[in-house]
Amino acid sequence: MPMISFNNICKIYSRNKVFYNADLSIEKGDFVFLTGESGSGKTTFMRLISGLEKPDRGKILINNSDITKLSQNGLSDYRKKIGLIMQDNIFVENASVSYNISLPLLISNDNDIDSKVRAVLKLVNLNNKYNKIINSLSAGERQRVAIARAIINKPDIILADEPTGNLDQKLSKSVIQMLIELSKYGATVIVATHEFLLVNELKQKVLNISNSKIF
Amino acid sequence: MITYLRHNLRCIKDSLIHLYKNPLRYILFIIPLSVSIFLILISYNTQKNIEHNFKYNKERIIIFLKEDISSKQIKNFKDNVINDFEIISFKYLNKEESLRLYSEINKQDEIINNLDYNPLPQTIIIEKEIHNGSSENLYDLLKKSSLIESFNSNTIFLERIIFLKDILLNILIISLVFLLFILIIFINYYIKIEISSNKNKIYIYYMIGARESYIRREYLYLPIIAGLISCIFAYLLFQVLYFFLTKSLNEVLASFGIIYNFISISFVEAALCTFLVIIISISICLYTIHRYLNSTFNS
Repeated sequence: MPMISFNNICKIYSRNKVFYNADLSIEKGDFVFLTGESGSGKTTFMRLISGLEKPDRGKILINNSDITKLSQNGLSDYRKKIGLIMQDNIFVENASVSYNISLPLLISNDNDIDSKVRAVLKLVNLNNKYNKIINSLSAGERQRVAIARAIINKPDIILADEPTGNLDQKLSKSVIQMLIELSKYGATVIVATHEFLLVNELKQKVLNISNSKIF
Repeated sequence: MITYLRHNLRCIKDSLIHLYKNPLRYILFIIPLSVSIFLILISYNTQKNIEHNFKYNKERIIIFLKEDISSKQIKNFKDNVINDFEIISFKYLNKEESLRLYSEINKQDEIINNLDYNPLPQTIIIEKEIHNGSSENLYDLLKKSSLIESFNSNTIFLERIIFLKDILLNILIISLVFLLFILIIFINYYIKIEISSNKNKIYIYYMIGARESYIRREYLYLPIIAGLISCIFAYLLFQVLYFFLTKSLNEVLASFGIIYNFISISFVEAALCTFLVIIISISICLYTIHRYLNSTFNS
């Protein structure tokens, strides 16, 4: 049973067909690169899977349940199981790193917030930035904070939209390798990128968006 | 349930801290809100006092009879009046009873101290509902009656009281509209500012799966707390004014021989008023937050 599947998905923005009868299947624990030209629909793909947008037609099955039929509250509960790393990472800028990372735990009323935040900061190699204000971090550090926030709740699916956009090549590689490691623990990871060099180098499964289809 | 309670407590605490750190921003809302609640309390309480002191709004007609009217004539007159008009009470007082009643009402009047001299005639006191039919026919009867020397009525006084009550009712309605207006303006302003300045946080909340009710709670408590503080201010202001007003008015009314019993707002009424303000605040908050969250999220 696939973890994520698209059945005849259509998404059209004012006559611009982003997806037209697109189909897709991704297994649990897969690490997938999502490639395509700028404006091909990579971000829309991420927003569709995360339930931030609904398709105009078709079904999106996650663990065999159609998320297009979920209510607003159902979608919110579903998003708790997803780790999102967006193109322009959004943070509460004047708050600390630990506060930003702890937000997913706060909404779940976790009792063990502090130790989990410290553990995840260690994982992304930011353990000395616990009390730092987000504003004071470099682009690479911000990216790692975004990853830490996305994985702190141990999500089933991690969606990363251009996670290496602001990083140099070395840092980009280490971020992607960190995500590959996470997929080994059972999380399904989808990374949208247009860095073909990195995609070719890391030899992972690749999906390409072209002409409103996913190949 | 524990998550819900914990989050509520955290939101209340955060709202109190926010209010404590930015008092000037909210004082501009608390003052007009307090004034409108104060106007509601004062107009409501004055109305209540009028109702209490002139409970039945009875028209009271005092009739002075001519000399040497027999009890049979009085009985016939009583039958006539009671049959033809909706009379609540018909009370006959002989000369001594009239004097006793007059002396009770006018204790300070020196003439009454001389009880050997009684200038008062036999008296009839009629009480009738002011709105039960016109009193003109009754007045005609009294004018034409050969038994009656003179009569007077408190109609004008009652009409003035009713007029005053109508004005107070209008003030009450205007104050309620004013209260609603202030609440809508403030809550709209506050929610708009807070949501637009926390746009990132709200977007993160959506991304990580927070329900709308969770996000809503973060902005719900500050207007409620501000409303509560306004209620307390208004109530204290009302109590201070009530204290000084009753003290001075009692003396003025006593000098006119009017016995007036002032009553204040009860705890239940004050609590109901606060409850009303909070319910209106919550309703406006829920609507406004939903509206702004939708527009923020969709943008």
